[in-house]
Amino acid sequence: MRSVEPQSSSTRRLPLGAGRVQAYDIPSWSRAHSKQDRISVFARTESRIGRPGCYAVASLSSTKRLWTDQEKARLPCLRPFGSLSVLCQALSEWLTVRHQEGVGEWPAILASDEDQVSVQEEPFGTLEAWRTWADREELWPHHSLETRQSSTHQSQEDIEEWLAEPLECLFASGREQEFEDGMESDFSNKLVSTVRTYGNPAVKVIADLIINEKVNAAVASEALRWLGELEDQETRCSRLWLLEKALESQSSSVRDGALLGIASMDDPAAIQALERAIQEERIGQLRKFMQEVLLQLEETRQCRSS
Amino acid sequence: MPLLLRMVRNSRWFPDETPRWLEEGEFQADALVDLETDDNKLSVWLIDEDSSNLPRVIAAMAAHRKSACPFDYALFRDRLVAEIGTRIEKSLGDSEDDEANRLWHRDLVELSASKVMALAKVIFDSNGTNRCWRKDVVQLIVESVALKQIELDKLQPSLKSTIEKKIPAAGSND
Repeated sequence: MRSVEPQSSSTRRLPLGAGRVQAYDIPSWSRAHSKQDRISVFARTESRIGRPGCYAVASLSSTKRLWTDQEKARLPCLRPFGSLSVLCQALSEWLTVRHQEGVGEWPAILASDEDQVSVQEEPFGTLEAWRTWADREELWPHHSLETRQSSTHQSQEDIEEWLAEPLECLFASGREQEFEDGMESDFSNKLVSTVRTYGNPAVKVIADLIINEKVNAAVASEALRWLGELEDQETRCSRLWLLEKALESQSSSVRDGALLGIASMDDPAAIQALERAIQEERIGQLRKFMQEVLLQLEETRQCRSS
Repeated sequence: MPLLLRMVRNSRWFPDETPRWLEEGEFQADALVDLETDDNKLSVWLIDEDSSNLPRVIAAMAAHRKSACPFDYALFRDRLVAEIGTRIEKSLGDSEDDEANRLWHRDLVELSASKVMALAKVIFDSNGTNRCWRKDVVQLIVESVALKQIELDKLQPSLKSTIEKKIPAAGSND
């Protein structure tokens, strides 16, 4: 597989998130493929305002190894919502500036999961050059152009379906790991990274695995702890929902993991679910812990209302 | 009569009620994970009878982690350990509190498999597993830092950041 990044000696760094957001749509299509431990995502964005037919190609790269080789083979249908939208935001800002400056050349943008985006200037002179580069078959080793176009706007269900197997594998791998309080693990790092990247669809798949008891209880418990610790506003509601549901689990270990997650989130919205769980809880020690968290959440509610 | 503290994960000590496979008075085999020995020794901490040093020991151990999180532990009588024929030796701990390491760290030594089993039974029967919640853990570490029992700069970056945010608030309470 050839390198996917256009070659240029002129690269500069732009901060993400500075400036106006919008002007460009969510990518009309996107694809990804992997090379060794690197994942590259390509997106073509289309202008909504001012410049219809405006296309750009970007490469999103991650040096983190997310999946096993077998799982990576499924990457061509990947669409990482959160990161890609951030990428498109940076792209739109850059192209807007270029347009205002009257520059007709088209840049290539190489973004990372970090807080900066690299812009390679002047690798393409025209829109046609962009398209030619973007449409090269070697960039799309697994799909024809028709396939790509037909996959426009992948639904959340598509993403959930795609995530199911890698997440099952991730939870299975968790059985071989030793978890220690306050210490990250390969499992927790991948879990957090997946939720950050895919957002609510990832939480929904994880919820299915945990609530329907498809995974080992100790691993589920560990996952719930980290889901509570995670600071990610987009998935806050779905994570809290999962933690509340997990309080009803048959496994005391899962209920305890859910309780720890709820304590971390410190959201009074969980009070009702916790009160129900206390009534149902038969293990005295766990019931005591639940009562302590209930007290914490009531104090938080009081603090916020005063 | 002093107590001994061992860091555990509480959920391993719950009687798992569904499905009901544990006999009355039995505990999960997973609990033994919390009693993993090294050179047939098990690290524990000596806690005064009035538990006056308990907060400091918790802070010392919790400060050794990468991030602030709840601290699960078991407390049991040292007399019960002696009763199962286990010797207790003073040794240097590896927490973030040097003085606590010198004063209160102990090893249970010359442990056989059956003695570990007996110790697990002691802990389970003592019903002494506890949890210090994250907020309290953070507060205890803040206090230890303020008293110079723990050096802030020795903490892991994530934990250090959490503690630093709380230090001015702790100072204003004085």
